[in-house]
Amino acid sequence: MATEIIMPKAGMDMEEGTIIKWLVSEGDKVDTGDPILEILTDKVNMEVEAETTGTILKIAAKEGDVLPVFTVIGYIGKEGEQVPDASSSAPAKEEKPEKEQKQESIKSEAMPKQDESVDESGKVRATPAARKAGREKNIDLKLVKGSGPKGRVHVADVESFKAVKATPLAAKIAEVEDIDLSEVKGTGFGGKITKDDLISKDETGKAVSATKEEKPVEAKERKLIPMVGMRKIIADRMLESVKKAATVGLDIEIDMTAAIKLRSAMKDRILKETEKKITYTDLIIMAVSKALVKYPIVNSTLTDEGILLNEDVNMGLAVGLDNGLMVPVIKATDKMSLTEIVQKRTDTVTRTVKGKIKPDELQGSTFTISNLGMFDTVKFTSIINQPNSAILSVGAILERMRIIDGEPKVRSVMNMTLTMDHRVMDGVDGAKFLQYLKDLIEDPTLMLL
Amino acid sequence: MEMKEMTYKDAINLAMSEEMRKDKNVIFMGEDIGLYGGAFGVSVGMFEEFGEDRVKDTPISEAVITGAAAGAAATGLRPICEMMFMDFITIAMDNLVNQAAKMRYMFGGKAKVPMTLRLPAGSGTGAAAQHCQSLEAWLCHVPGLKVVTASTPAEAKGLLKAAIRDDNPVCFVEHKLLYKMKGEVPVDDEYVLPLGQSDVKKEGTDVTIVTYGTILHRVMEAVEAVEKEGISVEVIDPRTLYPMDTETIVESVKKTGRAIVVHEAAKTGGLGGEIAAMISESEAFDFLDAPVLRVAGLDTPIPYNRNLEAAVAPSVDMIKDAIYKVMNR
Repeated sequence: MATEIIMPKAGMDMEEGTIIKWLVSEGDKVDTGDPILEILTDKVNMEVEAETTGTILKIAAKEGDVLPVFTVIGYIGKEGEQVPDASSSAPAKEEKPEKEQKQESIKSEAMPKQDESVDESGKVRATPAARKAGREKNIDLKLVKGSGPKGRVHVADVESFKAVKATPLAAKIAEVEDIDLSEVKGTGFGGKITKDDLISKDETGKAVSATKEEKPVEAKERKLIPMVGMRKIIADRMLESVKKAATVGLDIEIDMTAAIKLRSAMKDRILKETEKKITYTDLIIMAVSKALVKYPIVNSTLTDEGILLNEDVNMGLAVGLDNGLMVPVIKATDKMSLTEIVQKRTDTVTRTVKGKIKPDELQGSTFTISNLGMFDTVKFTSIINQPNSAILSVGAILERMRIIDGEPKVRSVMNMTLTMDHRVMDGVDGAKFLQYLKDLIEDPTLMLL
Repeated sequence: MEMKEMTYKDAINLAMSEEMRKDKNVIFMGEDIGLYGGAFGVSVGMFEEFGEDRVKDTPISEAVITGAAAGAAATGLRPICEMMFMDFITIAMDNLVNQAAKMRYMFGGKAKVPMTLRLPAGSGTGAAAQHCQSLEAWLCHVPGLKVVTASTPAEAKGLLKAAIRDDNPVCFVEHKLLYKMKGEVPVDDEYVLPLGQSDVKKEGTDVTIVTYGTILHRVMEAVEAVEKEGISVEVIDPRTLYPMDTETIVESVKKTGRAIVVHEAAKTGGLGGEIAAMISESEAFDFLDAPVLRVAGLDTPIPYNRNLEAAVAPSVDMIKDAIYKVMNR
């Protein structure tokens, strides 16, 4: 029986997905876990992995197709196996795989694997001890040359194997670009080679492409960063938002004296209780949540039916990554204590940075905060994170001379910019929201009200 | 411990005699075991010492021997029986399997069956197909029987004494080729080896060999040869084949990652399969770095022709080859 490849449901409220790119062709052999296509959900793009080992019998959906979840988009099975509901053009296509496969096997000779050790089903011939060692060392036994009869992999083979660990994407890039991964130093978890590592490989002369955030140019060489993966998603969504929303920016300056005092007063106590450090972001999340409850229009979503005032405050938090940006969502921040916010924010951000965040946690935001203060950015504007109606950009806290009661005084101040969708609300709404937010931060005792 | 050099056969004689001196309920019966001293001369002198009431010649009927022994055991005696050849248990099976092995269980523990069945087994004596078999796997398949085998004179004494003292029917398998083997045997009449305990005959790190009986000595020879080539072998003698001390084997295989079972009995349906399966079901599975091999007797009746007879049982070379195979050499 051929196994169906389906459009996965990658998040609770995912209803459809877009096929970005097939990473395999009909006739290709795949192993369980191999990336076979890239899809775009409403939040992220992700690789779909083969659920079984076999040959790609049929690809039933085109790149760019937008399909409901669980739609069958292809089949994996034994070579030559009939596919249910195969279209009339299928037989003609099925003759192709064999030829392709020959080419494939010639190509694969370059890989350090002994074909005999992998049987027809794609299983590796290896002893239990070798498998155990492979599991423990996270080594794909298919890459290990077996010294036993018929290429059987023994534990000694695994132990002497120079581990090449790479993410599926890096492995794919390496394969396409014909890079010997054993010469690449991995910087990922446990020395795993990530696509970023292939960039440094690039500097040694080999043509490699991979996604990477631009860095101040020292390298003289010109790099081409392909618009794939997260970069592509960010690009699409930012452009979509800019096209859609009628944005207006409102700036405000906040005196941080009280907030600084509050934070230093709470710091040790919260550290003791939660083992987590309180940040200004936590205070801002709390204050913004209160302000959103008071001004629900800022916490709304524009739908086809009208403006939906969201009941909960689900706070999106822009988290910069080495190679992009993600907006994990902390749900119901309006109902949380400061301690809870500190804990939840620390956990969410940590997991996002580590790539451990679940698709579900990347959706459902009602408002978003982007804080670049730690990078000394004084003031900036953001693009609204759809389907939110506004986003708050938070700048650095700086000491500035200010006139207080007619006297020049040094005060710690911070800029905030609210980018709002004028379709949903008007300047006065945003201004009132900001003013209240300013009041809350400048006099945090108001948050007790 | 005071030791005395003696043959395997004399060690058995000593074990029986000591137990008979100690416990008047211990009796001995079998074909020609009285004045004649037994087909292999194991019981020489016992008739003279204990008299015909306690050392009884029986008719040529193995069914009678096991039937009488089971009854005697259930009613208070502690009989030791000798089958002239292990091959003849086929005739004794009903009394052994359906009566002796079941009584204690079916009477809710109220009946004990403390009988010992001595079974001269194995090939190598030119006694042909009906007098050379190793049928221990048959017996191990019957819950209620204990199956014990000894590979040295000292163990013959210690294990047989434990068998006689055990309250269950114990089948004590003696390889005929071992009868003349000499070894140091403790003189102490309380030298008893516990049943259900494996003995590590030799420690090693690369391969575990599980073996018993006369073949153990061939294994030791093969092991000595391969050690010179840098292969370290651990040799385990289970001694009690049922219920077997599997823990020692599993721990050893976890250490070495390779296992071979060697026995003279025919391969198909033999204990080798049981032990191999036990290993792969155990925690040792994840440590296996080679298939568990069996080196066993060929699936054929034991030939009368000496050369063919020798070819049927595992030889030193066959054992060495198996070691090379698991070592990928």
